Amino acid sequence: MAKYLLQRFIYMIITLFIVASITFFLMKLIPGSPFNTFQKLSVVQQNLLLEKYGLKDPLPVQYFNYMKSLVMGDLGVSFQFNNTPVTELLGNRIGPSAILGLQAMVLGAIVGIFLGTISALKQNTWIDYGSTFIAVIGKSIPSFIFAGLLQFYIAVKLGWFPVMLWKGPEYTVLPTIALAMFPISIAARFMRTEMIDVLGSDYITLAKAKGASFWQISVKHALRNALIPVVTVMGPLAVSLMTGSLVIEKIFGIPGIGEQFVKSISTNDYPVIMGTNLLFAALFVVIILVVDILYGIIDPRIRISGGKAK
Amino acid sequence: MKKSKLSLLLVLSLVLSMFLAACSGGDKNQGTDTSKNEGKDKPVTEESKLADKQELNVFESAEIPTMDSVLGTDVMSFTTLNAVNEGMYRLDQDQKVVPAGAEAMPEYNADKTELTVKLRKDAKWANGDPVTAHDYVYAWQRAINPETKSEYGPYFMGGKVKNADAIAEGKAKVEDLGIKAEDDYTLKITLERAIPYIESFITFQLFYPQNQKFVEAQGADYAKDAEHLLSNGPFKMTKWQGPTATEWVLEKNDTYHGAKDVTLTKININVSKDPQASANAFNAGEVDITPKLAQAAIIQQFEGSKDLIRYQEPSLFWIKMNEKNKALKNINIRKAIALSIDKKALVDDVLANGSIAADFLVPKEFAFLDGKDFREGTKPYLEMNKEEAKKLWEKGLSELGVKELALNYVGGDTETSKVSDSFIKNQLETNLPGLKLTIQPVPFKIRIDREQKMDYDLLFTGWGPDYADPMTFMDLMLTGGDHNKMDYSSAEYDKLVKAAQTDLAAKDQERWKALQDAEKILIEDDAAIVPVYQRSVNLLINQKVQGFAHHAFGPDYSYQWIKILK
Repeated sequence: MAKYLLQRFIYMIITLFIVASITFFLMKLIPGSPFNTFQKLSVVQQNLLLEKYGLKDPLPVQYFNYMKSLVMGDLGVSFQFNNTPVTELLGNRIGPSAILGLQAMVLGAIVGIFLGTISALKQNTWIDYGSTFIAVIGKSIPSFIFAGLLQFYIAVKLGWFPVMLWKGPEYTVLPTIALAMFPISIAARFMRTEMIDVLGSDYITLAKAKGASFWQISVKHALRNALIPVVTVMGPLAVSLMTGSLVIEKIFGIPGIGEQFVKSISTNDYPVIMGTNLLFAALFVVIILVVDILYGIIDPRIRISGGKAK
Repeated sequence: MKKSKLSLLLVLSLVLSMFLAACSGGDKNQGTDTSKNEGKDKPVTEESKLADKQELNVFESAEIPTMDSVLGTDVMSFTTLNAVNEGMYRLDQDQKVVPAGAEAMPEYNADKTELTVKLRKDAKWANGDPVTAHDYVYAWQRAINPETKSEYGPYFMGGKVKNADAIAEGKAKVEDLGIKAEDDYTLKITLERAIPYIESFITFQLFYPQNQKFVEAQGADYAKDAEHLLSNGPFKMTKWQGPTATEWVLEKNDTYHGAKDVTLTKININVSKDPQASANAFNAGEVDITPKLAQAAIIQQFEGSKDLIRYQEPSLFWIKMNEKNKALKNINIRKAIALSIDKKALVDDVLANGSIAADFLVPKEFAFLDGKDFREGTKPYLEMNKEEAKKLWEKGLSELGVKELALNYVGGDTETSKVSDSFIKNQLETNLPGLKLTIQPVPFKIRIDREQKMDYDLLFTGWGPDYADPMTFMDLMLTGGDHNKMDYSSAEYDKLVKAAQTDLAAKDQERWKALQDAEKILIEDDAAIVPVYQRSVNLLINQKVQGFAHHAFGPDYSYQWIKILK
């Protein structure tokens, strides 16, 4: 196991290095400058600024300098947020996004797995159709419409929750629901398909023949095995939820990282683009490792460390 | 079959009704300009009418990039600095320049290149230090010092404050800058040349004082968050976690020399970037002042409501025509393009937010001389005229020896610019037979980049003023200027604008006339640019909030005169 983890860790470092390099050169292809006032400055003033920030150096030199400071743990400073260190910016912004993403993920997984399971168990009944309907709605309605509706009817009309902002647990309810719609539909669909598949397999028939109860069969034997595909998709989905949703964060006024990332690209804020991308990539490789380890726990048939079969 | 036709009809009528709704909304917008009289004309007479809790909730549309006055380049920074700090002068509710940190208006030498400013002796920093002339000298020198990496320092001072350009380029010492402290409360400012608008110019946040002892003690942490700031204005910042914060709090500053005139005790400001969500929060009573709302669909929900405040802001938008393109070098082609856009339909039906059609460069309600708007006494230039346009177009084409013309049009990538750009394309292609326009919607920064590189035929752009004088717009198109970038050159226009900058600096009326003539040459005689519209601001303000003041440049608003009624 330790050897396996070490090996994976080395792969992760290599992956991040490649991601950093590709991002660096891709973002330098975006035309434009990172300074807000370039339109107003004279050519002399522009050149002075570019020189001060080392943006006039040849690209390979800039790349080398960036990589050198990256290894030292220095991600540079943001242009749009006036020299705020990128690490500080990410630290301040990732919190709300991560909390919201986790809540949505947990809600989405619980509701989705529940819906998928009961539709599989009650296949082709109104329960099945009902939960499929919810899944289709969740997948096909854009989140900004759903968020807008929640905000208008639940917050403005009924006044049950605050309209927007991020000041306490009650403020997280509506955005969490809005954000959870997508994972709900994904989890429900995968769960239903896989569950039906598993329920038709030989060992379930055997369990039935042995006289195991309905609940024993569905929970102990079927559900656990049917979770594999759900875990596979939910891992990467968790990363994308936790790294912020531009739309939900904007509508509910949440100080998250989603909007920041998009804005950093459109404003050529190079250090922030690099920092956010690396953070997302790092989360991603970690989650994939976690998913791989989870496989082994959920389904003992899968061996991760290639150990000797008993 | 029958069914599908019916549903098609239904869809069509739905689309049509949406369009009609948009039109009728646009019509209503006309003439509802209630500019600069909200609140002020209803003075609070009895103290008893004031609400017990003088606390204001405001939404802003962006974070504050910096609270260091010499580094600010952004309206959020300017607005907050204007509330928390104070310079020599500030804009009052009627946009007049009034003494703030200064005792009186400046005294000038004979050729108006030297200003002497007497500072008031009761102005204090929040730590108890007096605000002295040395604080101004320190801040100005810091702004121009190349080590500070200020963008606006060289931009604002260059060519205006003595030796600023040389210092920015490292060819002179910061001590040589044209600002000296004669004693603790007397400042002497030396200019490169007389500047008619100098008084409004130095209200800008860049020219605010900074407490040297405090700034140097904080070092790199200065202005990093609320704890590392020092107020000398009507409010102090008690909560702000730095540039990424989406929430900040201003509280009344009791050590401010004018504290007795400040009624508000607390302002809670939060960032909301979604206009509909802001409107929802306003309806739910969670906010008293929303950010600017530009979308017609949202504004229409409040059309006719007393909560909706609308005024013209001095931001002007126009189409640039790159004369590097042989076809656009032709005056008839340019005039034809200028004459064939129905700007009124654009602002009323497409934008539908109260913006006004512009056939001028210097905005309305922006620059005044003896109380008279710059726009008074000027005729509209090149109003739409389809027949004339077609005639000039055909003449231009035959001069070029072609029958068709294909041009690219670089526009913005926002919803608003996409609809207005396709409207303009439709107008031009319909009215000018043989014209083929390709719209290229690009993000803001890329548009600037293409403009700088002159990589466009037509380009949609805009400008907001940096000081209250027509010059902030009029010097943009000087031959070889940094903002021209369209190969336009007119000796006559250059002569008039340069005269207004130099010889006529002290002769207000003649200078005004020269600038108006230059504007006519630029837009009517040469059709160098096609002005399109002047933007209007729409915001929602709780009717209990009185004394809200908005400004044409620098900060968007002042909060210090606000009172909350019962």
